Amino acid sequence: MINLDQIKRLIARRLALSDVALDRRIIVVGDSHVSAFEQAVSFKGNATYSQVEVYRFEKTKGDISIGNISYEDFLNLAGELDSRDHIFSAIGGNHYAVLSTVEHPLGLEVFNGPNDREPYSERAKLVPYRIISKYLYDAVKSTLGKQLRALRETSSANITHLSPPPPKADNEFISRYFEHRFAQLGMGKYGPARPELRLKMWQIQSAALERLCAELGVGFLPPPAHTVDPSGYLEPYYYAKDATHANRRYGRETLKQISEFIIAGETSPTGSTVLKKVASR
Amino acid sequence: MADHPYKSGPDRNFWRRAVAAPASKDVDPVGEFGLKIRPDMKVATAGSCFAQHIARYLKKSGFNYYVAEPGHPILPLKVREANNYGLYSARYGNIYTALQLWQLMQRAYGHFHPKDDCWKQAEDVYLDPFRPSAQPGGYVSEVEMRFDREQHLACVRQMFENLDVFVFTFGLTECWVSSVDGAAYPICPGVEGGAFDPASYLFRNETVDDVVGEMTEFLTMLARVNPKAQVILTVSPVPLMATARRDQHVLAATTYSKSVLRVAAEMLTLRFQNVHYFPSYEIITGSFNRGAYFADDLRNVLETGVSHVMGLFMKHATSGEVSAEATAAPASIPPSEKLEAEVEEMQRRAQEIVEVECDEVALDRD
Repeated sequence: MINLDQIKRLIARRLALSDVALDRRIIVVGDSHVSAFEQAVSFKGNATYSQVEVYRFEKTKGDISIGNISYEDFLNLAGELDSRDHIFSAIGGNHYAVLSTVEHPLGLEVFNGPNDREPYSERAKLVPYRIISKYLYDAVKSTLGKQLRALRETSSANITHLSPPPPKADNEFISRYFEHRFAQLGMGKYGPARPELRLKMWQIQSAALERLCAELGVGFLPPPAHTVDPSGYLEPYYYAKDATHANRRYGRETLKQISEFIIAGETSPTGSTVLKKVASR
Repeated sequence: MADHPYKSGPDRNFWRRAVAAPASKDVDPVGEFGLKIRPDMKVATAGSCFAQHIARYLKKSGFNYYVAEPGHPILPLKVREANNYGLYSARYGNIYTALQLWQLMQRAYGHFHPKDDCWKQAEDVYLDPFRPSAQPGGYVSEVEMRFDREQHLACVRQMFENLDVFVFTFGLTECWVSSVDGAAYPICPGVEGGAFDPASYLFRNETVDDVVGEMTEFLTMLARVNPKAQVILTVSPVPLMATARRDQHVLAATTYSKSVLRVAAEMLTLRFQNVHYFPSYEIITGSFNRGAYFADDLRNVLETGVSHVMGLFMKHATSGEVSAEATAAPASIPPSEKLEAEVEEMQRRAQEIVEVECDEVALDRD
């Protein structure tokens, strides 16, 4: 005779989620990058991930309200979770984009580590690696870091931070978007910065995020491997219609990655500094 | 009564009246000073650590402290300052000797290419031997170090060509140079980077002739690239931390160094019309203050001393207090300030673009 546990396992197998996932909460929370997950969860045919809860921090700008939970309410929610539950953070992530989306009038050059030997432009003004890497680390620590620390201290859940999607290489794609947006903001004379700069900045930020997560005892997941092209950029198939975000398909791939992460049992123990990466390049 | 040169003369010519009698804070050893710095004049500084005080006071007094290498404006000012941008007019670090200054100019204009020009400390830590402390933590690669140095030397050229006044503080006569080509290092290799090797590095203690010769070359070339440049020389009152002369006491070595530099400065003011001497050294070390301007280590200068120096500098070497109107609305905005304003506006809008995009992504569904 089939008992309830067996039924759960059958259902779980059909849904491609471990049976352990059925009796725990899986939460994705953050800022603009959660949009990809919101769309993935609610898209028809993605019933697989319907149990995933997606929260976006509230923000009001003029008449526009965005988000479905305040930061304080989310902390209260997180405080009610236990060690079987999972919080996946998609908080912040666009510090690098502020520095490298728009072409700077003076140009901007960085060297990303000892193996980066080719400057793109002799004329672009250099920011030495140790300055930019500390700057980005301090930036993520003072923003995302405070929120992750608060979550870590409040919640017994497993907490893992999700890497923001890699940058887009296609400047023509970005320019098509920029033409309208830039004109609206009176920036018609500026164009997108070169993609190599965006990638370097994203990589430097990623290193800062990994370091921060290790210090806070929070896990870190890089982007799903097949959403990233051989050079490290986001594959065009996963582009959202803007300069920095990924789309619903990316959200779905990351949810798959999260499932595998949980199923594999490679959870970050509460309060530990263990980092596990299921999908690595 | 017979007449003679000591019958008349201003009070400042007489020790009793000008040094022993006045209150310490009122002693003013500045003689006739032939330059008045106006608020619109670009003032660049370089020299030993004491020169940083001059830069600091110029900045806060509203004068046009000229920084040709301000760092990338995409970084906040505090970040740039923490990384030594703005400490001097370009990110060259301390320049202690006349030889170092002269070689800086030669390197900036491509006339001198030292052989020993990169120190590898670790796989990802490289230093510029001629400014080993400029980049905290060092550069991540030799390529990065060289790239930064090229841009730095371009800023040095820009500085020399555009300044109105160059204030140089002599620090030392003792230095270490390459045995291959005489390249002078700001600090002994092995102390703050590099590795000491007696075959590669030689001790040099400059003489008056050396300092005057090197400064003459420097001033001649400065006049060539910038005929309007005025120069103020001063001697740092900070004693030697240590002498490399085993046969000498550090106090005697200090007296020698400072004497050479003081004499050289005097000779240069007599040789060049555009060179002026300011007596920072005398103000700090003069017996009238009974050592009150030195900290307990008898080396570092207290703020009271710096304040005395800079108060007299402002009195004699500038046209006076900068008016509120002058700082609020300068008569003309130099092109670099216009660019800075444009950059600031662009950066603000770039931030706005990313923020707006982050807000609107919720509204844009595939």
